[in-house]
Amino acid sequence: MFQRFPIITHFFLAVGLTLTCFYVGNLAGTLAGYVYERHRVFASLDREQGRDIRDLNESLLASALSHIMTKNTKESLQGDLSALQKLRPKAPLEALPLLDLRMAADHASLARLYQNTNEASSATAQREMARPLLRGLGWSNTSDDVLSEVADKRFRSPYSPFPSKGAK
Amino acid sequence: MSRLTKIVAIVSCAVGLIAGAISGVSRGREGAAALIDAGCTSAQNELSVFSAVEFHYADSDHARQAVLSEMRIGGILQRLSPRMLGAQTVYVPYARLALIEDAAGNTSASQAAFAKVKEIVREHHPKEEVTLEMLKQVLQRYDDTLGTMRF
Repeated sequence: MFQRFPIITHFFLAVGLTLTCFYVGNLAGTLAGYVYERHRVFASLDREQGRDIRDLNESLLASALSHIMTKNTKESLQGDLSALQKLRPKAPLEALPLLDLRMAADHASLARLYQNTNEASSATAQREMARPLLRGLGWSNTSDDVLSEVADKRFRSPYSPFPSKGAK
Repeated sequence: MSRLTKIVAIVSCAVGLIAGAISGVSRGREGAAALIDAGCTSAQNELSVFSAVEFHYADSDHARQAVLSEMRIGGILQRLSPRMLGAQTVYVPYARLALIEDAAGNTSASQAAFAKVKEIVREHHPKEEVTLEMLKQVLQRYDDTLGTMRF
């Protein structure tokens, strides 16, 4: 084959090898560029500070993504709560109050949804779970009215994919 | 395998690898910078929302703690991603702190934070006179219109 059509076979060999190696080189280059840039940016911080900020960013990004994906339904809010509970033990100290607030808002929203479906005991249980979280954040007033206000704002959040659903 | 075939193979591999690596490095760096920016913006936004919520609902100790944490972490995030922060993300925490300290009766701390707000505002609007009452209105509008009071 190589001897019968030397120009054509060598041309295709060259094209094939160039493209394959371009792909491999591109992957390796992308990875190297990514690692280099991250290292360069985080080099402006000391090691511990850099690790803290990376952990904080990851926790807050995970919680924000979970929040964005949460619909205003009982199942979705329960899912968000369990995601936040899983995230909490791994989160740095500075992220904990933010996660607590989000959990309290989820409980308050669940209470509203249970209230709407006349499940008063479940609604009360959800409110009771929200209260200690909010008191831990320095809220002196954790009355039903305040929890209802929190639920309203949670349902009307511009970041919710279905902001109007459940806001009765 | 003939000598010509070996030469073609080696040259093709070298050209492919070098061209791929050059284009990949810049793509990887851009990707990393975009991810870092997105992470910093998200973190800054979450901290700012938390400060706003604590400012409206919590006692002064917790509200102060939230604002100080926003300032401290915001300063580090700004170093990581300087292009993402606008002027308002710098002065809003100081404005909140001035009002928290004012409400708590810590006049000197309130004045120090207020002076910082004035300094930042003067950089952007040299003729503007700022008062504490104006700060309250601006913060209320900021929290209402930008949806920072979300949970």
